[in-house]
Amino acid sequence: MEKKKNKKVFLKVVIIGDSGVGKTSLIHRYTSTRFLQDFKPTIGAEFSNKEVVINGKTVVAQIWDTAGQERYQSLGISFYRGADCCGIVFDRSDHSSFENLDTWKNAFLKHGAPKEEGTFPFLVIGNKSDLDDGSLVKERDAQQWCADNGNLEYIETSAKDNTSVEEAFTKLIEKGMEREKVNLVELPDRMSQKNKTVNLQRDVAKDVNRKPQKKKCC
Amino acid sequence: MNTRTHIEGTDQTSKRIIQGHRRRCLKKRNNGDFIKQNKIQPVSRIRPTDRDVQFHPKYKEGVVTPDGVRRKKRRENDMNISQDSPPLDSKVVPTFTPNLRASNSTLYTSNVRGAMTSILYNGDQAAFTSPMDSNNSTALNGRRLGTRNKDRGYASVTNDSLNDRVDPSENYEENPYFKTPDAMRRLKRKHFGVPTNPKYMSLIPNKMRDIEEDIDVHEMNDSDNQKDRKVREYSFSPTKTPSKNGRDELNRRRHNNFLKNKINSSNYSVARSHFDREPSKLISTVNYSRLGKYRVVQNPKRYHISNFKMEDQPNYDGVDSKIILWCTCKADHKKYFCQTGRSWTEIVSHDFRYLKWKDAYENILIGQKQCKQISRDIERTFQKHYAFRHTSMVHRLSRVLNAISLYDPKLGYVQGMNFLVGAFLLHCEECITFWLVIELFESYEMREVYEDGLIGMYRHSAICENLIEEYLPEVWDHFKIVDIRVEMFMSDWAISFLCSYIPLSRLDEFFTYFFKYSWRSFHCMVLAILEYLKFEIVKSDDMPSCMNTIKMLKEHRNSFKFDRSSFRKKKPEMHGMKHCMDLPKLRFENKKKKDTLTLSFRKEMEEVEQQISHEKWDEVFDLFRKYLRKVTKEKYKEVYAKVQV
Repeated sequence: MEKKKNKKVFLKVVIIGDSGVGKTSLIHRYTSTRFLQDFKPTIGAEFSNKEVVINGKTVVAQIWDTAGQERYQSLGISFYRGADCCGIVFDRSDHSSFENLDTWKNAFLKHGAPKEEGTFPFLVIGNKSDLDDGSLVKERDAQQWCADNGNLEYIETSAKDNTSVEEAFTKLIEKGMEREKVNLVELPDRMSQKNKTVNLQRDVAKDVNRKPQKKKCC
Repeated sequence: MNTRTHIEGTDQTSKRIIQGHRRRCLKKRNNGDFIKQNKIQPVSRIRPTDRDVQFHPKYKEGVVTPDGVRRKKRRENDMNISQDSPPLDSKVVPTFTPNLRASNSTLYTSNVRGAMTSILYNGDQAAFTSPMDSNNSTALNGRRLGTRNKDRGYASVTNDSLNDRVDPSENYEENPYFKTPDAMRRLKRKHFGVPTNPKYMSLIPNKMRDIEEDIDVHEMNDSDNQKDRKVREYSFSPTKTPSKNGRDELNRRRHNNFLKNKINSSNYSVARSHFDREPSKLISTVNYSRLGKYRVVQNPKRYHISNFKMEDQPNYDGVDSKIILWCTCKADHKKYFCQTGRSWTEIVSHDFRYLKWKDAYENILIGQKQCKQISRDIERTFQKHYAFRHTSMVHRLSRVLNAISLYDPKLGYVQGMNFLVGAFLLHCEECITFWLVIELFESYEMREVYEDGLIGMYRHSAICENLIEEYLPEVWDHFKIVDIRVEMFMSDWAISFLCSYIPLSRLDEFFTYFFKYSWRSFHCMVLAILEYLKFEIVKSDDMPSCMNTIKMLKEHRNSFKFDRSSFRKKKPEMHGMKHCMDLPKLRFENKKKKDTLTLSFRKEMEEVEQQISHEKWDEVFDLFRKYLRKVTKEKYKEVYAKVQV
């Protein structure tokens, strides 16, 4: 397969959901393949990225990890905007977080204001399925909710046991790529961008320190 | 038996074999699951609460008496007692000195509970050793036999037994037993709970941050305090024993550096104690005056949230209950804050009265309610720090946060406050912490940051934008090229008030500046951080890498994987490393290799990282002071007015 340097695609993935639902550990599991033991509540938003090859294209997924508390929803304006796909996470052992799915979806559509409200790619992720004590949110209920809200897709994960975390994110990214095959912003040619601003000093610094881009594998 | 002690006793080859075996064992288990690997305390074996300790007969055992009766009894049960601890012979023990008794007796007899006198010098190790037998839980809380396990450098003394104890140094010259320095050291350890084994001295964390203080407050005059202070100056001379191998050598050197630094710094007072009469010896005396009594906690139980219930939370008793200050700042003669805490209260209010503050705080706490969000966040506050693994600290944190949400129900609890409160709790007592935070909210414009709509956050990021544009034009240009808005990282910084960014050990310094200069200091700090990272920011090509470089100064203890072998090679560089750019590079190289961290190695790593981060933050703070001079008050007002419009 052909791999061109400039065929890199940026994709903005936003993960939302109630606080304490496991958004950060999901993302951490995906980007660094480890389960977080020491973790902090996310404040504002945290950023992480991962390069994936999907359908022969290298995709740089910019994953935005948002804070779960209600107060931070007003931050959404700056973080949701321009998102290509959105994952809504809920805690399967916490029913209230499942009930809040509606509010999260609406908040995202309101603040993020994507072009197509009806068909925007969401993925509903039920996390913490390793805590099986019989009182988990049932898959049927979740599927039902997804069907009622515009045929969203649903997936059950566990960041702790690493069950289908990778799957969930690849699904998300694929959806995001499908969504705007035309509109996908390809990485602009670095040289052309540079020429817009003339700053000799920086260019010199870059040329000296520039390293050949290495191939990364997952 | 603990595997760790095995290793330390044996020679190097067998050490390697054992370590290799352990690594293979670890591999088999769940990858990355650190707690599982190291057998951290299971949920069921949480340390008993303080009340349990007070009344349970089990914990009253093991008092050291000079005749050694109970000690022997204890020995039969306990397998772990070291063989070579010197016998406490009644012949050897000199007579009691009247001096000591005069100063101590009133104090200790009043202390019915007899809190233990000992030191926690090795908090970090706890995370790496397996949980010990159930006897250990007694060690945490109550009276306990001194020198139970020499191999672990464990030493503790109960207070009421100290009454009958003798000062070993008194007959130093006469008694032949004391002529060997080793015997002397051992005896001192036994009597006063000071870990004198040089092997373990290196394990004392940089700022002695892991000292567990446990102060039982009784009515004491200040003069009593002074006497107390004199008695409690201990000494140790760690450099004595010859090193067996290179590792010991390294540790010794490191520890000597540690001592030199500490002696110069204000946290430790240098004094020549009455124990040591050899003039040439370097004696460093840790000033334990504030701490009063200590306990050694060999294997501190990790606090587990599933055992925490809001209903069980003990009520606030003020100074009458236990106060534990976890900081290593200079002590204040008042028990409810350290000197840093005192300086903050002095800036905030001219008329500070503890009882007044306490009463007001208690009144607020009456309507205690539960907030789900708070209990969720408590377990996630400064998890790495030793203090926050303890139930008492957790209770305090939850009480203060609840009080804040009760005091200002419109504001409520917002994530990010937990860091702020946690940072204050290290230095001050609960009620002082509470009023300091409220003061920050009300007269330092902190409330707006947490308010609905996060107005303050947006305002301060706008101010920062202006300042960056003016003082760091290159960075500003690059942000524009890469398409980074300041809010992207400022939301975290402003709301958590940089508490989750600046390492905890440095936060007090920053707070002092903040109380003096208000938000100007915050903006200067942001400028300083960005200036420090300037070259890396300009170097980074796209938005993701740029965002990652901005995060770089954060405490990254857990975010990097290191491989043992490659780390060894890199080591000399790491020590002299000043540029933070090297760390990610290292990570990249090790990406393909598996994560093979052995326990001792991990500890070593943490030490090195601490050193690095200290160097870094020294530089950042220098830059910060530079910017404080640069961005004058008038300048700041100008920018502020501009943003308002």
